[in-house]
Amino acid sequence: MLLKTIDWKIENDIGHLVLCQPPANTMSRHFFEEMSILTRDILPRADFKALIIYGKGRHFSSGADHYDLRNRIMENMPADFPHELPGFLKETTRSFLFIENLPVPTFAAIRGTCFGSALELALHCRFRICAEGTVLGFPESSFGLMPGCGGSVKLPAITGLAKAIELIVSGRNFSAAEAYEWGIVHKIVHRRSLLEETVDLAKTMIHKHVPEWNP
Amino acid sequence: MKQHKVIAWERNGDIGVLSIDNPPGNLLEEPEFMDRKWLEECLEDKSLKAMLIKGTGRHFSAGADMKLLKKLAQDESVMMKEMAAGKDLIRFIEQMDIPVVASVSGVCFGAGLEIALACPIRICSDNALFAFPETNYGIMPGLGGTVMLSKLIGPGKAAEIILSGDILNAQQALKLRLVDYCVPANEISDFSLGYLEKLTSGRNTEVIRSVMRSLHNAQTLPFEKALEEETKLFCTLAVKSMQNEEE
Repeated sequence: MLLKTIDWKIENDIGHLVLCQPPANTMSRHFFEEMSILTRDILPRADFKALIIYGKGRHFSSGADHYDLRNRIMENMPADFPHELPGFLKETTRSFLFIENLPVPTFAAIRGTCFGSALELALHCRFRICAEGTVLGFPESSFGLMPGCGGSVKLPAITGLAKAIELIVSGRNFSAAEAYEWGIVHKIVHRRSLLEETVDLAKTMIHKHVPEWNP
Repeated sequence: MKQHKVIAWERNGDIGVLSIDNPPGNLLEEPEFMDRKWLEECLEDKSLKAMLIKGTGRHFSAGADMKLLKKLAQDESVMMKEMAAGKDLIRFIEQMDIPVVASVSGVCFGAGLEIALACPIRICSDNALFAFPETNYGIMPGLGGTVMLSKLIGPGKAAEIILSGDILNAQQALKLRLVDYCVPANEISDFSLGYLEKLTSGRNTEVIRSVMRSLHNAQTLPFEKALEEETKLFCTLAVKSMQNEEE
């Protein structure tokens, strides 16, 4: 199956999941469909020891297109909502949870912008490595919405309740340095060396799992 | 301004201000420090976007009135009933679907600290003092203090604070993340109100309440159930925002 919005490759035992709709790598409906295919059909059969998620070009991702998202919700709203949820949203949650539950170290390598659903995807990774100058945020409240793919569940566990309220209700942007201070990202690196340093970290972790006495 | 037991209520724009109003120490005369129905009536206005809890005058609250508490303890069944009602109030504040700030200046002890811990956001003045002095009197926090403190700062630090009964100053409280912000004493009122105004300005109440519900779910429900509830809240908002645009 050929994917158009995601580039998937394995290099030296490390899986690279690259969001591939430059310039902003906006998470379109095709992206979410392909995330579903990737996590159902491709990743379970692939052999990798660590996973890195990043965006092609200058940005991680600006998140979902909220106009398109709202239209899809209206189109797919089950008659017995809220007992039943729109299928495509359940599928997105499932694919994000698949990343969360992978039995290998997972990294989000973040630079440029990382908003909304993109930040939610990053929060489902075990480690977040962030380039200087990155801007992050949950802007949903300014569109009359809220995070819908785990943001309001994952964030308070990381930052505590007060900061989570502050960031999600106000919807304000925050910097890489702030994200580091609040524990949202684990390391800040130079923009140009982001991928290289993340790969190095992944390699270190992979090799720690190899017993030294085993030839 | 509305008054009930030792509590006063007033509106400041979209923000409700609840004052522990029994100066100078703002002692809480009984574990059931206000009537829940009364509070629910105060909160009934759906245009309300946030709530602030503070003490009248220089102190937040020195906690329970020990003399009255001792008297109350003579009848076990009355005591149990009062404690259950007090806990219910703390739980109610903890689960509110609007942001609640505890704005703490001066003394914040015992049941006063339990009220502050029930608030998801805590702001204190640089002269604030925090303690659970209960163990000095052979008792312990009774309105959920042991549970809330342990959850917030870990069981080790919580044991230290509760068993020692020692007083923490504002800097120590900030370092332990017992409080989220510490500001100069003469700025705390403006800062706390300004914080909530800035937080909620331009945000409609449906969004605020949905976000708060989901954040509470994250604390109380199993992970995957909380995710499912978040998606429900999200869809409901999406539908409403579409309808609003059509109107």
